[in-house]
Amino acid sequence: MARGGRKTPRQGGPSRSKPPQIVGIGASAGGVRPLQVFFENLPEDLGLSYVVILHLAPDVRSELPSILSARTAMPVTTVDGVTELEPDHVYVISPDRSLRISDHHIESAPFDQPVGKRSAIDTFFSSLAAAQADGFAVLLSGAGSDGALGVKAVKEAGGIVLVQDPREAEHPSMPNAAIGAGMVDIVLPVAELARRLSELARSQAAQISAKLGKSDEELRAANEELQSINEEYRSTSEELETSKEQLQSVNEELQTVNNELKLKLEGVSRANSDLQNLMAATDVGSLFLDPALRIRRFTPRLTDLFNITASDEGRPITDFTHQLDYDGLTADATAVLRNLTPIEREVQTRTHSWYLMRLRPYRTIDDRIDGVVATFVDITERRRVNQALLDSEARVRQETRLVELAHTPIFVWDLDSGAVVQWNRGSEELYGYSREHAIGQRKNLLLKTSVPGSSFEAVSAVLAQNGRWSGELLQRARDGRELTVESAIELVEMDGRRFVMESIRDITERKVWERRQEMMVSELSHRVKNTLAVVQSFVAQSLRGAQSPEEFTERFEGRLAALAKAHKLLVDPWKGADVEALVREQLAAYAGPAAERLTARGDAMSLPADVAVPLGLVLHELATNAVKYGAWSSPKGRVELTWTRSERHGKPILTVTWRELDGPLVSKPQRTGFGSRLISKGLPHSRVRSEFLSEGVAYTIEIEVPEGMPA
Amino acid sequence: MSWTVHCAATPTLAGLRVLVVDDEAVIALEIEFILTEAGAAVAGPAVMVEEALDLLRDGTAISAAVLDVRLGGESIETVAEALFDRQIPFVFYSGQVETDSTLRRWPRATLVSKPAPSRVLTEAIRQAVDACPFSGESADQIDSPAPAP
Repeated sequence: MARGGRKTPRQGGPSRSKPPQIVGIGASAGGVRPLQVFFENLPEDLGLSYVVILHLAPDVRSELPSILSARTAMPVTTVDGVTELEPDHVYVISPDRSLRISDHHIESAPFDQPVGKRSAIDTFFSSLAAAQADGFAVLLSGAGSDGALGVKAVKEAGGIVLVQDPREAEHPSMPNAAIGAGMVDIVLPVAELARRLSELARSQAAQISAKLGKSDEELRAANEELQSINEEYRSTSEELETSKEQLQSVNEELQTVNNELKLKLEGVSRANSDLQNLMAATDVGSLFLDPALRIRRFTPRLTDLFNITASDEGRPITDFTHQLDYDGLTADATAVLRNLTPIEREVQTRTHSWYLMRLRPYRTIDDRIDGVVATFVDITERRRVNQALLDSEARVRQETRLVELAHTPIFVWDLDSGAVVQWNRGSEELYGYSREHAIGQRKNLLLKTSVPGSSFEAVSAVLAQNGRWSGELLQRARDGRELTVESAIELVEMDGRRFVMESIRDITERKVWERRQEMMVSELSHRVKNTLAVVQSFVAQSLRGAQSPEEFTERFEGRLAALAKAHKLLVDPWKGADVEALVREQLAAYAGPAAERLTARGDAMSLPADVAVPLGLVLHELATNAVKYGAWSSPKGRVELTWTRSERHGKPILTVTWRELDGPLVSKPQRTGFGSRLISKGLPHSRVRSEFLSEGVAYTIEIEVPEGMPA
Repeated sequence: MSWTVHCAATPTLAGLRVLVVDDEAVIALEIEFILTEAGAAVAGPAVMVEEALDLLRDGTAISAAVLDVRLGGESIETVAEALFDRQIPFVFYSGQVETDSTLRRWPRATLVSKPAPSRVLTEAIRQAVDACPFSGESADQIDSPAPAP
């Protein structure tokens, strides 16, 4: 006890005539610490009597006096029975007792009320108010509202009420109740309260000190008495200090443990709530089985698969039917318990849903195996998507393969770099570049592409605007062939790159045919005009020698028919006319049914139009001459017609011999008419020799058949 | 209906010697007849290019020419050039249309389209001869061939 030692209070002292001013101090839960602080900060010589009312456990011996003795030099006494109050003394309430003041005494008495309804502070403060008009009431930390009525009484009697600042109090409800009642003079932290009390007491004491007489004798006696009491308390205090400290540390430990437990309990409770919510919220069917495969717990979704309810917990899972197309749960769960390795299966339900089932051992926190956890995740959609993906991949592979194998040239190139990225079989066939060769090459350089009548810039502009273009291109194959193609291209953006898909139709041959057709049309026009000119000539020539319209008509129609017959054999201008067919056509009408009038034979030979038509006309003129003047003008006359094929300087030569026999005597005509001129000059590249023999006229016509024509 | 042959008063080509080149013998004979009727002498008719060139080379004086454009597979081109070299005027008598490449090379030579009335042909020859009296001194006035394409 550090602060002991003073034998006598310096000022004031017990006075028989005037009882000391009383300071009632009320405290409850959290009150011990403020009491210590209060007395630590309180001078010991204020001449006041301090009565401490603390709610104490009824059946435990209070250590409060010793605790307070450690903080003040003033004697601290537990009030038991009736005690006379002395200044600068501290009186402490006994457990399970109430305290009252009557006159100069303080009296301890059993409670009238049962535990829980006791209000020791109110009781004491009320008695204080009744006994002294100038008492002090101090109210410190505590739960409940004990003291609120008491301070009111003290205040009303004229005393002063001091209350610990609730913000400092461990349990502020007692101070708050008093403040709430509106009967409080001073609200301060405890240390300040003590100082304020001492100021109040000293100023009051100064007023009354003059009145106080002091008896040294009395003081001395009292002093000795006090000293002996002090000695007594000191020894007690020494003893109690130890146990107090011990108790305090135990208390602190207990508090710590308590707090920890509270936290743990909260944690457990939270974990339990979390678990409940998780089980309820999860979309995964989960089943917890004990080692005997009895149901321990399950999530609501599990009831989609197993016909179980909450009341089935504890029953073996094997007792229940389920929707799964799978009967191995018992065997698998047993295997998991035995091998401690998880098992995964994709199982189908009878309603064609698919679940991923996982069985794994249930491990406790201390790593004990205590059953099996089965989870069921609905993977119907995932499987469907997966299947769809596989199908679509297969389709893409098929389509890609089709494009690769197609004979239509199709290729893909990068619009920005120009590089070929795809090249199918059709492209290989058309251009002669293999896939390996073409890929990576710049398409326009590889194919030496040009756009007839336009430019790449124009094509690019259309492509950028419409996303597609089609038209004619000129390209070159690997072997140098120039190709005319019809290209259809489409722009496709993929991963930020612009690809051009190009499909090609080779129209080179079509173009050749188109040109040939143009030529044929022009040739046809030429021939028609030429033929008309020939007809015009027939008209003029036939008219010139004619004596009558009938003669004109006869000549003209004969020539026109000869021309038509010659052309008849030339329906296909690229095919020649056979000589024999030509002869038959031209001469059949003249020879008549009697075969002996005409003998015609020769080599098989085909003649081009340029030769066949004039030869037909020449034969016609020969025949009409024969009919008018020659062999066929007499009944016995006949004609021998022969033709042979030979070659001169590698060129085919047709030699036609027209020989008239057994006809009238002929002579060389005076004037050569159109017919004769036609015979001698009508055939290009030919030589005509005529002989007027006595038996009849003979012509030898030698024709050089142009090369490059069918012969 | 009375049958009367009217011989129209054709422009006389008297004194001219005209080369006829046409591979269609019937037509060539007809041209020959028409020109003879108009008083001209005829060189040919030639049915081939080579034949025509031979007639030009043999020194016979020729005052004009009637040319078909195509002779079988051959083009009349070299004959036209030979005539130009000799400053002999010529007309084309052909079934070809004007867009023909040979005709385009000789834009100022008259094209008489087949078939044509005889008078049209003889007038064309007369005009060609009158417009271009090929005297050696006036070569500038004659049609010059367009540059070959």
